[in-house]
Amino acid sequence: MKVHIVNKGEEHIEGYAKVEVDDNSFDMSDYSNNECSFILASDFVDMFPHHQLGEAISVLRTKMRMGSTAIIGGTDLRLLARSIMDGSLDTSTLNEVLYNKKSISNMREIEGVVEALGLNIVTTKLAGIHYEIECSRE
Amino acid sequence: MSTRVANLIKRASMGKPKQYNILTFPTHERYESQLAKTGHNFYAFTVEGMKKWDTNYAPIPENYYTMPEGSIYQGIHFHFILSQSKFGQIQVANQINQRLELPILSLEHTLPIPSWPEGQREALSSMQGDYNVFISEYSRDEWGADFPNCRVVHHGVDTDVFREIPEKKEDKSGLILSVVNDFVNRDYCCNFSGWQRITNGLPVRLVGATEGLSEPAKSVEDLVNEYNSCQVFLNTSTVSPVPTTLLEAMSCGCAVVSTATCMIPHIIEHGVNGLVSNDENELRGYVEAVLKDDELRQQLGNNARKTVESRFSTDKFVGNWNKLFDEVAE
Repeated sequence: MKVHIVNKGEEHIEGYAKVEVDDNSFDMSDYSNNECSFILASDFVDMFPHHQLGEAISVLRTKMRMGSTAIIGGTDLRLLARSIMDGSLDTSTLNEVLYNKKSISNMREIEGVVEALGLNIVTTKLAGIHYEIECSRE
Repeated sequence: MSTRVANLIKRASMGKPKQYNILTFPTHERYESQLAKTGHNFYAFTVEGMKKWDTNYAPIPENYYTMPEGSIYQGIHFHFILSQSKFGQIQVANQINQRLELPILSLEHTLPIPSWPEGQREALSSMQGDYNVFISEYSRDEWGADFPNCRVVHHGVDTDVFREIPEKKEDKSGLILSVVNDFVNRDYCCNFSGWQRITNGLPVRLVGATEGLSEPAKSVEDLVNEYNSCQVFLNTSTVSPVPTTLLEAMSCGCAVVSTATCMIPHIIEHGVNGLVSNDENELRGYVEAVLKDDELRQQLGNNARKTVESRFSTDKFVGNWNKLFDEVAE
């Protein structure tokens, strides 16, 4: 079972199971624990208030089967700050980033959350102000 | 560090994956259904106006995923790009690849058209991948260029799906079947006008999406029933390396009558597993002969089935593609 987690109303990869995040919550009760072979959650971290991140990521962890991987991504606070300071982010994009997301974290912090849940970090990737952590359950 | 170097390091550290993630484009549903039997993950990239998978031709395989228009997810580690046409796809693949920096495997299903203006074939031949695949030796030679890492992978037909249904075969009221999409517009390669002349006044059944002329089969099962209900399968193509429908019909044990163009004479031995000619009067005569002669029809159909089983099996097709995928991914 491959799962794609997206914001409500957003398109998903056809062939993946779609899970929508709406108003800080999402429902994965249709899937058994340890059922998912791959979870793609590229913007997942931006979809929740900061204080809910640990809980939300732990839900993903429970659905991952042994040997599976997940991609968990979001906007990186430090990269965002740098982009503001060096002027590489225009005002319109900045407003979109600041006011359309539920929180902004930093990648190191989320790596810590992921590792604390017993997941292994396979790779991390930074592109612009966005980061993605690929983690696996061994 | 460049993306290409990062990709290489990542792959080296992860070892050989069980499944490759292949970025491709919806092209030819039944061919891609066969490709999906390699077991890898196929991710279809589309943009507005680009062809989408048409479930009328085949259901979407479980390991075939369609990304939202214009989207590519960097979290999915693609191993390479599979372009299936020099007519737009490889250009899009090259554009995408400026960011991804992956090997490109260029598969070409079609042939250059003889009526093209001078230079067009050369221009399209220059659109090459890191690996280049053709569906027949004939197509490779017709494209003419010196392609790097060039391979031929013959079609594979699922002989469990495209099979004989004895109870259908017993029905002698069948017709002359042809299965072609967009027949009228593709007269230049599928030879609609020739088909009209050859079958004039004969009992015909036409299947395929051609506006105002014929409808496609409702499902693969429906198509298999069509093949099994006919008395003779007629192929009139002039510029098509190996028509998939011809092989499917042969797999269903149909007696086939066909033009002897492109790769077809290398597949059909006249009088053994089908009847071939490039003379319209002869083709009509063969059709009439097969309609009248039960024994001939049975013999040609049996041998046609054997040809597909021995030369165009799914196992062979999947094995050849998997070997190539391993090479590209390494």
